[in-house]
Parts: sequence; structure tokens; C-alpha cells
Amino acid sequence: MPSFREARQQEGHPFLWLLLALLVACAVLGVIFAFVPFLVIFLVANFFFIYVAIVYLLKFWGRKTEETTSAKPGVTIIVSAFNAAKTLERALESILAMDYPKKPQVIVVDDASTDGTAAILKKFGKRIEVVTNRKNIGKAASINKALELAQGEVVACIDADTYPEKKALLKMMPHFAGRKVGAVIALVCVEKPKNFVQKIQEIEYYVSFGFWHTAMAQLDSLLVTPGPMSLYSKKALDDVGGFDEDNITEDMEIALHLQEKGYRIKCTTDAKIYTEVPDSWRALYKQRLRWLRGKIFNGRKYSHILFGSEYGDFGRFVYPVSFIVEILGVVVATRIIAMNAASAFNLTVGAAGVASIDPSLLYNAGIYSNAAVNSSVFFFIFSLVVWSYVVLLSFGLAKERIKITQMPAIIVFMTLYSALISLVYFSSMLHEAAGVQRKW
Amino acid sequence: MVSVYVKAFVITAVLFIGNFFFVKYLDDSRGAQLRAEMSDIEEQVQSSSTLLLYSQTFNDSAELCPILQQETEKQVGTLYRLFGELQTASEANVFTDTASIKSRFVLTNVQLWLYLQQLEKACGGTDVVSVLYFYPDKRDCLECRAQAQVLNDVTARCAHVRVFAFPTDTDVPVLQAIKAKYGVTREPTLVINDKRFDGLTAKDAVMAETGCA
Repeated sequence: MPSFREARQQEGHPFLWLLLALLVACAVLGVIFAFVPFLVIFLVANFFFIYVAIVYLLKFWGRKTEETTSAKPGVTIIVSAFNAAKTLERALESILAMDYPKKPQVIVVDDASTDGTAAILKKFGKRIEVVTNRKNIGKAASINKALELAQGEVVACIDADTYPEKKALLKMMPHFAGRKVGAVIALVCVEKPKNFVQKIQEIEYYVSFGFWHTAMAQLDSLLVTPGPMSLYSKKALDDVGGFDEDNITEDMEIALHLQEKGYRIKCTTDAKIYTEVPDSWRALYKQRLRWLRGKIFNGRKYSHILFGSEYGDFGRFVYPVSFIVEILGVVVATRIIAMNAASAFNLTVGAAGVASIDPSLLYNAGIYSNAAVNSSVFFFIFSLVVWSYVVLLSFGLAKERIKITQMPAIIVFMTLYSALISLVYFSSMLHEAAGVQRKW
Repeated sequence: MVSVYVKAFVITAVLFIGNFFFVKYLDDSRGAQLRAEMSDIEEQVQSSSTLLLYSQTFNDSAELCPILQQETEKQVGTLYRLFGELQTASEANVFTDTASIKSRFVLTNVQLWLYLQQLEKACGGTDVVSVLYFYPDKRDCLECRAQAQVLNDVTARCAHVRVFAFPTDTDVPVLQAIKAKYGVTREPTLVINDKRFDGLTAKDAVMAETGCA
């Protein structure tokens, strides 16, 4: 029998964690709703969501043409590869095929892979420099190791399962213009979505890397320099001492660290970076759990940025709001899921007279409430309109047209998916609270 | 220059207030519709009971009985449907004043039930079975929703079953009298053929008692 401490260290089944998250959320909300009626919270949450969306929309509409530079500094490309035999060859081919006036230095770190990674690296011969780790040290540490060898003024960190478009470097480089630009990020897209899970993520990536990032960049407030591919100024990286090696979301940490030191992160949606994404719900859950736990972890590490007026819009608005939105999302999602689950149960099992969930139990727990179905449906539709507009804008930024076959994914993305991700967020809060070991 | 945060706040507030009035308008028009339906059924019930009074007064039942029975059938159906709509509206619409419509509903419902007893005495019994369903109006009750669902299913399947929903926590004197007559102490309670069923009654039991195949 594993001890309690050992048991805590293990990752349980995703479904059980989500169920636990739902139950704990119900209990916590029950206590809150004993004092504040759900209708009030629902309206406040709605007001807040719409307010945040409008702030970003105003910023988006009012965006100015950015200053650019024609300088083409030397580039070092760093790829950290751990058991990446499946994707590495294609990734390196697309990296080496990128147009750029000066030939970039390419460093690949083999992080003690046990599959065919080493053999693939051999094929590329002198076109790349290879660093081989004897022990698996993780992505951040591997990149830091390669940084010591980097000669370029600009460092491009690219994942081993990512395929940048041919002109990615050329399109991103001009944005290193102006005061203290520490990093430039691009539009991360999903590489050839095959199943439904990937098709939803395709939409999600367009929206978050398209609309949200463009709007946030207007406030100089990007929360992440995406791991698949981001460009960093070597000087800025040296200034912050490279990547945090003890972090499960090092791409989030570096973005916070850069901005803490006063560096700006710029964003362009012209350059497209294609990356592999989880192909099952379970894998997606694990990935999101890591991201969201990393977010909470980094939120604690950089808590001084929250509401810190010396960090400008980032400290005063974007960073705190990103947490508040997630927490309100948990509240609303919990209610929607619990209510629908209970009524579905009552309509099937309950009507047969076998057993029924007492809605008053849920009501007392504040989950089921007599709050305005009409009114809430209306607000729901209203949010949906705003949401649809954001999706439309994002497709525009990506220069993609919405295909009819993408509609199911778009609909699920705008409705159920957000609720689900909110639950994963709560699950990650529980993981953090319970002290379950963080895994990359 | 006004900061983007202030601008966004003003826009949000305007949108929100706009939404608020729109929702209020929706709820109000729903309320008006329900009130109109209520007046309609009140008039019908009154008309039928007046007809019955006429037939009793002048001993003219042979001709009027079939018409009255047919009319009543319709009214019970309409009233039960209205009950469902009222329940939904009181939960779904914040701004609709359902309380006043509900009290009118309760009285009409009792009236209709009593009138039905009279009708049976005057015109003879039919195969119609009345189910009295006691529920609390002012609080959400254990198992009542499931019970309502069961009753909906049964009435949907069998046309000869009629449900009269009586709230137990209204201070209408005649309702208290009915409660006392059948000894109703808890909710949900069903009374079928003068027999009382306490608590949630399963679909099978209701169907067996009402002779609904």
C-alpha cells in the first residue's frame, strides 16, 4: 500500500480529478451563495466578462501600425529535443529551410533521448550543432546550456514538434524595433488537425494567439512567449539569467521575468508557426493541467506584479484580470455543469421513479438557482455574439476563411469547451493545494 | 484623453442597462400573456358552472351534460398546462409578478375541481380519474419535481387522468379544508380515488391506481 504522501504524489485519473473539482467547487460556492445570491454573482461575472472583452476590443480597434526595423541581426536557433524522433526530422527541415539573409546558427540539444533522436541528428551532419545531455535535465536547462554557445544577437527557441513557415524569421525580425524589445512572438497554429480534439484546438489557437495576443500586445502585456517558437534578444535573455530551470511552464515564466525587468514583448500575426497538439482529451487534459498549474505557480512567484502600478497596464490590469476571469469562469462553469447534469439525471432516472437528485440540495448549495433562465439565456446569447465576433476577428488575423466543416468545432469551442477548461483550472488549483508533484 | 478602461466601463454599463430593460420587457410581456390566459380560463370555468347551475335549476341535464363534460375536459387540460407555464415563469423570469397570477390560479383550480364533483353528481360518473397533487409553492421541495415529471408522463399517456395541483402553503381557506379532509401532512402527496399516497409515488403505482395502461 502506498503511503498517503506517496499517493499524493501520483497523478490520479483525470475524470476523478474533474469530479472532485466539481464537488469541491459546489461546496465552496455553496458557502459563498449562502451570503450572496447567485443572480448577483452571475450578473457581476457577466458584467466583468463583457467589460474585459470591451477593453481588449477597444485596444484592438485602436491599434496603430507598429514601428519596424530592417536590421537583420545574426540568429541562433535552439531546439531542445527529448524523444522527438517522430517529428524532429521534419521540424529541422523546415527550420533549415527558413529564408534569412544570414545563415542562422542551429543548435539542437538531445536531452538524453532514448528513441531514434540521435540517429536523426546524425543525418543533418554539419548543418547543425548538436549538444548531447548524458542525463535528462529538462527543456529549460537544455536551452540554457545551448545559450552558452549561442553567437547570434537574436535567439529563436523552437520546439522539436514545430514547423515554422518559410518566411517566419523574415516576418518576425522587423518587430525588434523600438525601446527594449525583449522578445517577438508569432501566430502559433495547429499542424494539420486530424480529429475533433485537434480541430477545437485549431480554433482556440487562432483566437488566443490571434485576437487576444494582438490586443494584449497593444497594452504591452503578453502573458507568455509561446514555447513552439519565440524570438528573444540575446541581451535580454542574458539580463534575466536565461530560463528558469525549475519551472513546468518556462515559456510563461520567461515572459513574466522579461516584463518584470522592463522588457517589452511584441507580437505579429503575419508569421505562422505550425505545431503538433494533443490528439486525445486525456493528453489535452494533462497539457492544460501543466499550463494552468504553471500559471498558478508563476502567479505566486511573481505576485508582486499583481496590481503593481510600476508594471503599467500589465500589473494594473492584464495580469490580475487573467486570474479573475479564470476564477469567475470556474463559478459560472460549475453552475452550468451541475445544473445540467442534475436535470438530465432527473429527467431520465428520476422520472422513472427510481431516484432523483433533489434540486433544493443544489439550490442550497447555490448551484441550481431560480435565477432568471430567461435573463441568463439572454446574457448567454449576448456573450455568444461578442465571442463569435472575436472568433471572426481571429480568423481575419490568421488570414483564414471559416470553413463550414469547422463550424461544429467552433460551436463546441465557444460553449462546452470553455466550461471544461474552467474545470481543469479548478482541478489544477486542487493539485497545487494538495501539493501533487508537478510534472513537465 | 479618457483612458480605455473608463471608456470600456461606460460602454459596458450602457450595454448592461440596455440588456436589463430588454430582459424586463421580455418578462413583462410574458406576464401579460399569462394574465390574459388566466382571465380566459376563469371566464370559461365561470361560464360552465353557470350552465350547470342552469341545468340543475331547470332540470335540463340530458341535453347539457355531454356539452358540459366536453367543455370541462378542455378546461382541466388548459389549467394544468397553465400550471406548468406558471411554474416555469416563476423560476425563469425575474421581473414577472407570478405571485398574483398564482393566487388566481389556485382559486380557479379549486373551483374547477369542486364543479367537477357537482357535474358528476348531476350528469353521472365518467371514466375520468382525478389526481390531487399537493406541493409546496414557496420552497423547493424534495422529490416534487420528479413527481411533477411522473404526472406529466402519465397525463401525456392517458387522456382520462386529470391532475389538480394544490399548493399546501397558501392561506386560502378552502385549500386548508381540502388538506384537512385528506389528512395531507407532507409533500409531495397524491390523492387518487380518495386514497392518499405520501411522498414520491413512482410512475408504476400512479398508473396502476388510475387504471392507465
